[in-house]
Amino acid sequence: MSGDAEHDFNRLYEEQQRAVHAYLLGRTGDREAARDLLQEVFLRAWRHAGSWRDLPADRQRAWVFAVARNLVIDTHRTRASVEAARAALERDAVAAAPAAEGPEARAELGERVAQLDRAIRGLPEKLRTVLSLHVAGGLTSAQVGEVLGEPAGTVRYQLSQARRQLAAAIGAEP
Amino acid sequence: MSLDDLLDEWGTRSRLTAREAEAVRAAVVATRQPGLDAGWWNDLMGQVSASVIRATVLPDRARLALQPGWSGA
Repeated sequence: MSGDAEHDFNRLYEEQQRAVHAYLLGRTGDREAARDLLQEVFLRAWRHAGSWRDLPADRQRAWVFAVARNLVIDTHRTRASVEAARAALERDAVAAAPAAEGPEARAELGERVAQLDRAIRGLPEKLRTVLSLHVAGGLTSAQVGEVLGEPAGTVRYQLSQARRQLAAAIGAEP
Repeated sequence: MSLDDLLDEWGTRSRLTAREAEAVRAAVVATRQPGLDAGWWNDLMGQVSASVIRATVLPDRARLALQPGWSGA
């Protein structure tokens, strides 16, 4: 690949990787599976640079997300392995290093986030994907709507549904 | 802790770290460059094989002539 093409690839990766990973996280419910799929998505982008390099930025994003969607469909065919990875991750979630100060506060925050993580995994896939794109991907409702082909108002409603269900599941204020 | 705070924390933990993201990018660009189609290896091996065959069918005198120091005697 020429230097220009590699530069274009790096820019595409820089701009889209966070949102694509968030999308894959929402679809799979599994951070590590999402990372593996992310690599596969961008491997295809790297190998098929001619398919997207001349497109405008919004179409480039659409191209990347189309690849991601197709990969998820393939992955769902091997759901059993994803479920196994998810179960392992769930076991590890409580032990993940939290960011609060002090061992007790860290342990409490870790437990609360693990509880939230379990609740998010229990959301319907649609709500989980919307929530993940918004929270982990940092996309606005309008941007989430563009990715998923939904009106921004529908996305906002789904986000509020997700928050209500999570609040009920972990005993927090919505 | 509010739901917003917990969601922020969950989002932070769920995202790839800068190191993880860079590892993914580096793994991708380390793969074979696009533009080299699947036949390039076969083409290369075909050329190598042809060279080997040409070398092995040279007459002895011709091969000798390729040796350094050959005087033509």
